[in-house]
Amino acid sequence: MFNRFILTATAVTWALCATQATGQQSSIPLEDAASKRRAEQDAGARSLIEAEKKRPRLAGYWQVATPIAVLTATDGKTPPLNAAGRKLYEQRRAAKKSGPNPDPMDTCTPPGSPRAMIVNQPFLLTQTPKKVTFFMQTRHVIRHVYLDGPLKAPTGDGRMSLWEGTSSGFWDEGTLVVQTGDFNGVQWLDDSGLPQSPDMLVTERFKRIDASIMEAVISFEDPKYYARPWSARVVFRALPATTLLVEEQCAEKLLEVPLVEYAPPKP
Amino acid sequence: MKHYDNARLAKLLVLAAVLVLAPNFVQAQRGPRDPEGTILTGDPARRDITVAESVPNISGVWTNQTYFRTIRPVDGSETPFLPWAKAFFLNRSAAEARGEPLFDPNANCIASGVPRNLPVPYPLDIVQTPNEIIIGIEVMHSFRVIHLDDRPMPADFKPSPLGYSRGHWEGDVLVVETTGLAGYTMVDEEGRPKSGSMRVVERIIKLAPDLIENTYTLFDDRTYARPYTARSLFKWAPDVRFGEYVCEENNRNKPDASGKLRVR
Repeated sequence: MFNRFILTATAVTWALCATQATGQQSSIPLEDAASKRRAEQDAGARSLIEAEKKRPRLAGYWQVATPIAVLTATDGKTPPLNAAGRKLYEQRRAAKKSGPNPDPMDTCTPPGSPRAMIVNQPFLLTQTPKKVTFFMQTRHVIRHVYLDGPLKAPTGDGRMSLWEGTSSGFWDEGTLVVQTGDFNGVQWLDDSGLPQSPDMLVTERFKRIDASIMEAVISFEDPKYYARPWSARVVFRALPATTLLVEEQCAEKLLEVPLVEYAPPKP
Repeated sequence: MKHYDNARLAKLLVLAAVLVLAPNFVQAQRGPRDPEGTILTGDPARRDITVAESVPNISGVWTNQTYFRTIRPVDGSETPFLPWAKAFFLNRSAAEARGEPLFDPNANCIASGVPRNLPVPYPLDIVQTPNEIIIGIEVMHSFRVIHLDDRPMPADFKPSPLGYSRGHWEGDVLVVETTGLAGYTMVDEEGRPKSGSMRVVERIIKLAPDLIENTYTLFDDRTYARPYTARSLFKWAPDVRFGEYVCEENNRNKPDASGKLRVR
């Protein structure tokens, strides 16, 4: 009687275990289209991960070594503005002197590319096989760089006219190349007001120099405002992994009502 | 006497069965795994490859399946307002019903913050690194950095809409604690208030390869009589890419040819 009870109880336990195990397997419907798609994506991901293992690491917190208020070309000269570019640049400089600052960044709009990186604020660069993302303290903008290859310039209906532009990237040996276009043409390239037309193509080449330094050679092609393509070199220094990005609330200065805590003070 | 022994033995056997089955149950609850035992991933190529493979992968883009304007207790109970908070909320609701909504920092381009941005109908883009989990938020282009190194909030931290978040994995559950929240943002779109003492604890888990659940509890004894818990579900959306959301531009108010902006 006693033994029979033990046998029955054991059998029930095993049966329950088996049912549970089967149930668990059947919770992954392999025939399911979504699962199939996932499996394909996983296989694709594996080859991307293998490629990523061979790449240099750019991930981490960075800040421009010397903030740049006025971009200078790599030859040490001022950027080669053409007549239209010079006219707009002089207009902006004059407006800055005569009245309220006409800089679009003053109205809290996204700083654009590469302006967000040359102001004196840190950013977090994350690196994954499919995408590199820049999380900027400046205006808390996110630059999404999908590693889709060279930028296919959007035309016609595909044209978005963006503050930050559309970026696409790829690795050229040990260098991360990021191409950005599709700008709205309103944001300034730097604090001084260098112009950027909607047709500008920005090509940034990021390279890790050593443990503490990353450089970006940035080329600008914009026949509307510049006589010829030109480049600038920007140096970034690595910040500790414990860096804390500060949450900037630029819009606070645009408010007509002060921000207050609604709760009564602590008793 | 013998009868008593059998009952005790039966109890022991039930206990043994529970002990044997419990891990299976828990595992089944936590979502399917591949044969190697790791949870099937959203997108393995969308997180930093230096993150240990044993860490559940929540990287990639997720869209909210449970958009709501109100953050109410998930158990169906009434929001446990303290008297001042109830008066504040009713006043706002009445003003909105009259078509004269009161000042909302969020409508003036101040980040909605935690917890208000948890149930929003905009995509999230999550990146996992060894040191942090970053949640990119399309609305008003902001992002949360969840620190995984157990660093306490710095003493001089300036309270902000998103506050200071730190997280750790408890098995397959990402537990995130957020403090340092500003008292000037609301809990939700409807206008439930909060104080600067609010603490939010999120428990984030993959229920299935394509589904994340975030169960979050609000602790704020200056505003609510007891902590309360709400819940959001997010579906994996591998093909979604963020649009540019510029609140300051109002997105309908394009700058004119001279670059002049009209900020409302």
